[in-house]
Amino acid sequence: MATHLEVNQLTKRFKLHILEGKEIVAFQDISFRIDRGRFLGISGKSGYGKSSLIKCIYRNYDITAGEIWLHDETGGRVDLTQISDIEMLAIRHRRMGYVSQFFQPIPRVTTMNVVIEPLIDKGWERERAMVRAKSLFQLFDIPANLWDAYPSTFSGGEKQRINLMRTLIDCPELLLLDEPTASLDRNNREIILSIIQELKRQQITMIGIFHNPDELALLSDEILSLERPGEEGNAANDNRLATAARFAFQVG
Amino acid sequence: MTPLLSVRNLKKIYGRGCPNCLSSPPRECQDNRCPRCAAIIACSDISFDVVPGEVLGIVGESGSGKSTILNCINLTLSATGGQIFYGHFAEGTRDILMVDAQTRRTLQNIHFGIVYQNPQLGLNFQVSGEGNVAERMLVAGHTHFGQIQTNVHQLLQRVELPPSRYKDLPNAYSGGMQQRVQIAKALINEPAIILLDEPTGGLDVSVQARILDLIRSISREFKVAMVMVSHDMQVIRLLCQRIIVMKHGRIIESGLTDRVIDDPREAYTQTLVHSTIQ
Repeated sequence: MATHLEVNQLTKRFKLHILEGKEIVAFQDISFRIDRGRFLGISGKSGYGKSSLIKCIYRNYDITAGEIWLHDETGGRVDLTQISDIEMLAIRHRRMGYVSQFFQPIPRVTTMNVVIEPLIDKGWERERAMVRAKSLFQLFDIPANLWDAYPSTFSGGEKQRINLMRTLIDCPELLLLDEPTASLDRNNREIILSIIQELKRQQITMIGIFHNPDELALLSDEILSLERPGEEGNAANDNRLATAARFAFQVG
Repeated sequence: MTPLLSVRNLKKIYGRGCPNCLSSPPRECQDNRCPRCAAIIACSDISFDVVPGEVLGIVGESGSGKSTILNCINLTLSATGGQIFYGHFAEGTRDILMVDAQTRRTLQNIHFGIVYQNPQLGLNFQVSGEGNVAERMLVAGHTHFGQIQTNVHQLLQRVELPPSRYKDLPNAYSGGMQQRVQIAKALINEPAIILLDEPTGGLDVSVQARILDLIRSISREFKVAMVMVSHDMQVIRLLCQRIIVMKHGRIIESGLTDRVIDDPREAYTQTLVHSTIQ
């Protein structure tokens, strides 16, 4: 099968200048490869760099070292860490979608306009874009009275679904999912899971973080398990546990 | 994508300058001032591209050279050095900093539009709001009175200036209305690029929000590229796809807006992001 994304020895460290240049390792030396149309699940404890990894692929974070090769269907490939910001924007618009953990509503833009915006930016007629949006609203169970309201007032689950719809309306070939079911009730979670399975049938490549191991197992063709990013992180964790234990003892 | 505007090694120095501060990059300079000759280095080694239709943000504290860059692009300030190429002039092959006065006026009047924070700079206070916008069409060579009036009224309606106020003098307008007229004035000749210098600075938050919404929808509707100076990261996040961060007249960091805000690289950018975003 054809490779879609190839990550070689990717490392991300944050340097915090405000804390005297303290360095935090998000993840180190990660390599993996994913074929077109497959689902790669990412597992690992909180703080092991799962979200950071996805953000680096989308260039929401800068990488510290490594390569990210995006392959196209004709055999060409491009290293996402080497291209300009303008080129990266074009790839984001045409080939890649990212659903973040937290939806940041655009102030004073209605649900309908939030969802159709990616198509409008591509030059679609508004009417045509709205037809596609309406079919998504039905699929995602968003009632008509919310279409012209501002998502900033919505519940966490509604926001999360709008976030997904905005990304899916443009049918990206590679989809990055950062806990898309995190703030959903059971009913909505099942809707999202069935949509993701439908996307798999449509041969959309996906990389996803799910905290629920059952969901991860259900969707993934392969699982990348992240280890703790370095001894330093682990020591801090032990330290925190010790502090918590001490605190519990004092309260008791 | 072919750039619409290319700025290369732009430099502006106030004072005579000396080999020390005129070199690129300036030597021995810790801030805006040359330690040898005390000249002010408003900006130095500024290079960036703007592609058609994009909104590029320039952020940085007061005095970091943001407005200097806009005024050099608009040719209202003469640069000390560097080159600027504009795609719709000589197919981007001639440096617009070197053109004669007549070509400069053509570029300013027809190809560029500018919106200042201070409406005193952007509006003629001796003529009405509609007169201000119509004036731009006249200098662009339009002579048909009816056509000018139709276009001006259409655009003033688009920027939501109440029709009953078209004939008022700018000093009778609120701050928000003055900015709306400035925006109409910048757009009337359908330029490929407009420059915005803190367009919502000094406005109260609700008026600011409405002006930002207007700018946001205009950038999409008119497919016009924008270079926007602001010190407000919320404004930048809302409008710009890419940003440049400036300090002491130099670009210290640039990137996709969400990258710079979520993963700021430089010490100053980290301070800026952490002090403005909750």
